[in-house]
Amino acid sequence: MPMRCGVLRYDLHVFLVIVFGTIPIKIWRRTTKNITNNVTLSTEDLLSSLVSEIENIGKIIYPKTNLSTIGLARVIDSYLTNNDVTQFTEIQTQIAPMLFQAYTTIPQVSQVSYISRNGLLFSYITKLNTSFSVFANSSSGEDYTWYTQTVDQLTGRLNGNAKKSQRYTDWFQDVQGNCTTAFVGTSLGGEDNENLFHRVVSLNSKKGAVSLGFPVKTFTGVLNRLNLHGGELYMWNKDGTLLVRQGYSLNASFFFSNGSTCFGKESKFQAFCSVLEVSGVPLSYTLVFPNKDRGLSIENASMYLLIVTMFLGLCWPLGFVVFMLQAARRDMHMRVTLINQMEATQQAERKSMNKSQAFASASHDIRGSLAGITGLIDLCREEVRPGCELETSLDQVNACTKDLVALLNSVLDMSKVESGKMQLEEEEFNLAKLLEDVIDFFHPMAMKKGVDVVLDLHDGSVFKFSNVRGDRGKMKQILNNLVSNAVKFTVNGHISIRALAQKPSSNSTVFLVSDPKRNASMFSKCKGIPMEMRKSVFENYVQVRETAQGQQGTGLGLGIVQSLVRLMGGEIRIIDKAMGEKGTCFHFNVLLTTLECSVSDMKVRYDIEAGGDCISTPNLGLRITTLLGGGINIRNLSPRLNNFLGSSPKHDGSRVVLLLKDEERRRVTEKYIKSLEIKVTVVEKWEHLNHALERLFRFSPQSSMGRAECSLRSRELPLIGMDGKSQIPRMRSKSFSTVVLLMIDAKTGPFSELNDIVEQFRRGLHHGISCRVVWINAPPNACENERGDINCSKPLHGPRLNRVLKMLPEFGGNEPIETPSERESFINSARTGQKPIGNPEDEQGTSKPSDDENILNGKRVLVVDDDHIPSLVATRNLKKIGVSEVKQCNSGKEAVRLVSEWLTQREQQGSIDMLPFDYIFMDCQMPEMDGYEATREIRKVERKYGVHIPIIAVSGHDPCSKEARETIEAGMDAFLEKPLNQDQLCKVMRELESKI
Amino acid sequence: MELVQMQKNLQDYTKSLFLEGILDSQFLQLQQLQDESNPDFVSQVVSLFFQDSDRILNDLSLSLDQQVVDFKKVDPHVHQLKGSSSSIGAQRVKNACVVFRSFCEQQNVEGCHRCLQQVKQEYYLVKNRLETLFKLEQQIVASGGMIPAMELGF
Repeated sequence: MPMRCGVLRYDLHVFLVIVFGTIPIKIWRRTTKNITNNVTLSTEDLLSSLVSEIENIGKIIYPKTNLSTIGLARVIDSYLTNNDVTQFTEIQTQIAPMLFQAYTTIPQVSQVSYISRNGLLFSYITKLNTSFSVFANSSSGEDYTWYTQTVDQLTGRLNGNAKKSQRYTDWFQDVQGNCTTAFVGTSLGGEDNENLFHRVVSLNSKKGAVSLGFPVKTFTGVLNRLNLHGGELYMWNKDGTLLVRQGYSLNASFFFSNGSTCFGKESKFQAFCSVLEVSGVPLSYTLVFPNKDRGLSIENASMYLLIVTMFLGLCWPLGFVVFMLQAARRDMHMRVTLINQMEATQQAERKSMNKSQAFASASHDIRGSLAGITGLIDLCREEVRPGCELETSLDQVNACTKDLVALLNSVLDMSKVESGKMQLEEEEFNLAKLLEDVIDFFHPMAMKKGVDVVLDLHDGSVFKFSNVRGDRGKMKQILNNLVSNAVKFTVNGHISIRALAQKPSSNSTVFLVSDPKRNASMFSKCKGIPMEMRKSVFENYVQVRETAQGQQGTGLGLGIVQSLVRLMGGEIRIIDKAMGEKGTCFHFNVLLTTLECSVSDMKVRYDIEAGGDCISTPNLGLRITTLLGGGINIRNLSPRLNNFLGSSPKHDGSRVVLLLKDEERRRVTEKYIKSLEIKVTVVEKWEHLNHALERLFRFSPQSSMGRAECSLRSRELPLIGMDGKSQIPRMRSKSFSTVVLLMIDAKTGPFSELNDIVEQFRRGLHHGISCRVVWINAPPNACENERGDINCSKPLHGPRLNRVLKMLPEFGGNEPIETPSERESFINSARTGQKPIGNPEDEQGTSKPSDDENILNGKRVLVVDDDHIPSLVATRNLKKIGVSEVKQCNSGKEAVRLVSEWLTQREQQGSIDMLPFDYIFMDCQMPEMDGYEATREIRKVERKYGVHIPIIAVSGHDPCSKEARETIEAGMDAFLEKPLNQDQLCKVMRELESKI
Repeated sequence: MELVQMQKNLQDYTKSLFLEGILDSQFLQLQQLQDESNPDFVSQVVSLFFQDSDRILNDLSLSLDQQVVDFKKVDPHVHQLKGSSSSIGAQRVKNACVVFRSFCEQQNVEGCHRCLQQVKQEYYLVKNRLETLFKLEQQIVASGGMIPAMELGF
C-alpha cells in the first residue's frame, strides 16, 4: 500500500514538473515576441522621425532665397530700364549700392552679385567674416580680369587696393546667359572654394542676371547635429558631389558609378533614400540603419532568456525531484522505525499484560498453596507431641507462611492500586485511638531494639476531631507501614509520631497533621535516606540499598502508602531536616470527615509527619520548667516569678512530675501536659528526683490557694474530650485539693530506690496535698498498694495519657480513673502484646447489646432475599435484637403480593391501622423482580391505603455507591451493606425508629 | 488430648483462618448470633452454604461448558454465591466471585473459566477449613468443654 501511494505521488510530481516547466517557456515566447515587435516599431518610428526632421531642416534653413533673389532682380531691372547703364563705373556707382543693401538686409546671405550680359561683374562676398567685393570692370575679352577689393563695412564703398583674383568660370559662363537657376557651386570669392547654394535670376531686360549665394556649411552643420541613433546619413547633389556624410558606425563604403549610388557593406542594413530641396537645389540623401544587427542582438538576448528559463524550468524540478526523493527516503525510514516501535510497544504491552495476568494467577495459586501448607501444618500439629522440637519448627513454618501471605497481600494491593480498583471504605472511627493502637503495637518491638516510639499529639487538636469518618483500614495500613519501617530502620534514638488536625481552608475543612517521626540516633550510627534517593523511595520495588542491608522487604510498602495517601486526598513526602539532625522525616496528610457536632460534616485533613528528631539538650542534671495559671497569666507575670518555682508563692493547683527515660518522650509529654495548663516538672535523672521533689514542695501551697482558684476558675480548659465516653469534665469551679502526679519510668533507675524516694516524699507531704504515682514499666506486683498507684507497661501517650491525667482534680478525678479491672487489662494487654484496652469494639461488645437487645422488640419484619443464607443470617440478626416475627420470602413479586394481599384483607376488615410488617428488608438484586421494582410496586399499593412501611435496602454495594443512591430514589428508607453487621443494623434501626 | 490444649488449638486455628483471609468478621457476627436458643446456628448456616454452593458450582460448570455461554444465566448464579459467601464471611470466595462477575460483564468466557476454577479452589479450601473447625469444636464439646469465644478485632 505505501508503495502504490509512492508511485501515485511520483506521477503527480512529474505532472507538476511539466506544468511548472512549460510556464516559463510560454512566458519567454510572449516576451520575445513583444520585444521584437517593439524593436521594429521603434526602428520604424526612428526612421520616419529622422526623415521628417531632415525634411524640416531642408524647409527651414533657407526659406525665402528665391523670393529675395527675384525681388533684388526686379529692383535692379526697373532701375536699368529707366537708366542705361553700360559702363562699369556706372554699375559701381548706381547698381552697387543696391547690391550692398541686399547684402546687408537678406539674412544669412554670403554672396550678392550682379552679372551683366557683357561680362561685367560686381559682387559682395563674405569671406572669413569680412566683406569683400569681387568685380570685373571690363567686358569679356582678352584682358578680362577679376579683382578683389576690400569693402567698407558700413557704406559698401571700395577701399584699399584691388587685387587680381583668379577667375572662376565653372558656373559663370552658364549664368551669363538668360537663365534662372539654382545650384550648388563654389563661391566667387577666391581660394577657399567654399560651396554655396546659388540662386540666379536673369533680368527681364536681358541685360544681365542677379545671383545670391548662401553657405552650404550652415546647412551641413545643422544636419550634423542630428542624432542618427547608430545610423548613417549620406547627402549629395545631382552632380554626385557628396555634401554630407554623417555617422561612421557602419564603416560602409560609398561610391558612385555610372550615375547611380552604391553602398558597400559586409553586414546587412536598411536604407532609406529620398530627395530634399534646399533653396531650390534638389539634394539626394540616404539613411542607413543596421537592421540585421539589431535583430541579432534581440535574438541573442532571447536565447539567453530561453536558456535561463530552461534552466529554471528544468533544473528546479530536478532539484525538486531530488528533494522529494530524499524526503521520501526519510519518510520511509521513519515509517519503518515507527512500525518497529509500534511492534515493540505492542509486544511490551502484551508481555506486561501477560505478566500481570500470570502474576495474578500465580499469586492466587501461591495463596492456595500457602493455605494448603498452613492446613497441613495444622494437621501435623494435631499429631505432634506437644513441647517437642518439631512443634516449635512447625510454629516457625507457620509464622513464615503468614509472612508470605502478608507479602502476597501487599503485592495484590499493589496490583489493585495499579488497576485503580482500590476504593475507600468509609466508616467511623476514633483517630486518636487508632494512632495509639498502632504505636502500642510497635512499641514492644521497638523497645526490644532500644528505640522508643513517642506519640506527640502536639496541641491536642487530634482529640478535638478524633471521631472521624474515613477508611480506617487504609489509614491503619499507612501508619503501620510507616511506623514499621521506622522501627525496622532505626537502630538508635527514637521514633516520634506527631499528629495534628487542621482546617485545610475556609470552606469548613480541618487538617490534621500528624507525624510519625522516623528516626535516628544522636550518635550518628543511624542511617537516613540519602537525598538523591528520596524521590525513588516511593516507587515500587525500590529499596534504598545503603539502608536496606540486612533488612528484608519487597520495597512495595512506600509505593502502596503513597497510593493510599493519595487516594485519601493527601500527599506524602520526605521533609528536610535541619542541619545536624539525623534521620528521616516523613510527612503526610489525609482528608477525613469529622463527626463532632460542632464541626459536623467537616472534612478534616490529617497531616502526619514521620521523622526522626534529635534534639541535643544541654547536659543539665535537672531541668525545671513550669507554666503558671494559663496563657493569659503568663503574659502578665514577670519572668522572675516564673523562674523559680519552688519559692513561688503562686504555686498551686496540681502538678505533674515527670521522670522519663527517653528525652523526646519527656519533651513531648511535658509539652502536652503544659498545653492542658497543668504545671509540669521534668526530672532527667533518677538521682535528681529526690532533690527536685524536696525543692518543689518545701513550701506549703496553702497560702496561695485562693488566688489560684480564681485564676483557674475564670478560664475553661481548651480541651474537649477525645470522645463521648472519656470526655474530660470541665474544670470544677469549687475548690479542690492539690494533687501531685508522679510519672516515673521504672527503667530510669533501680526500682526499689525510686520507690523509697516516692515513699519518703509521700510521708513528707503537707496536709491537703495528695500524691499519685504512675509507674511505667515497673516490675509486676511491685507497686500494688492501697494508694491507688498505677502500673502501666505501655507508653504513656495519646488517650492513655489523657486517662491518667483525669486523676487530677482539675479534670474532676479524685479517684484514679482506672478501675481495678481496667488496670488488670492494662497490664494484661501489655504483657501479651495484644490490643490494649478501651478499644471501641470491646466497649461496644460489652455495653451495646444491652441497649440493642430490645431495640426492635415485638416487631414484625419481612425479609426479602432470593438466597436463603443471607436471609437466614438476617433473620437471626433480627431475632437477636428482639424481633418477634420474621417472615422470609424469596422474591420481589412474592413480597409485593404479601403486602398487597394483607392490605386488601385488612381493608375488608375495615381497619388498616396495623401494618402488615413493621419493616421490610429488601435485597436489591433478585431474579424476576428486583428490589427497586418491588419497592416501587409496594409504594404504589401503599398509596391507595395511605400507609408507609419502612423498607431497608440490603445490598452488596458500598453505602456511598450509585446503587445505594438508587435505592433511596426507588423509595426505600435506608441502606444496609451486605453482609449484615449487627452494629450497623442497630444503628440504622435506631435512626429509623427515631424518625418514626 | 487435653481439653485446654484442644481449646487453644481451636482458638489458634480460628485465628489462622482470619489471618489467611479465608474468613472475615462476618463469621464472627455469625458466631455471635449463636446462643443457647440456637446452639447450632453457625453450622446450620454453613452447611446450608455448602449445599447451595455445591449446587451453584455444578450449575456454573454446566453453563460455562455450553458452546454458547449464556451470561444472563451465569451472572445470577455468581451473584448468589457472592451473597451467600459474604453472609458467612467466606471472604476469599466472595473476592473471587467479584472478579468472576467482572468477567461475566465483559462476557469473557476464558476469564470465567479461570474464575470458576479459582472460586472452586477457594470454596473447597474454606469448606475444608470450616469442616475441620467444626470437627475441633465437636471434639471439645464431646469432651465436655466450652467452645472459647473468639475475640473481635482482627
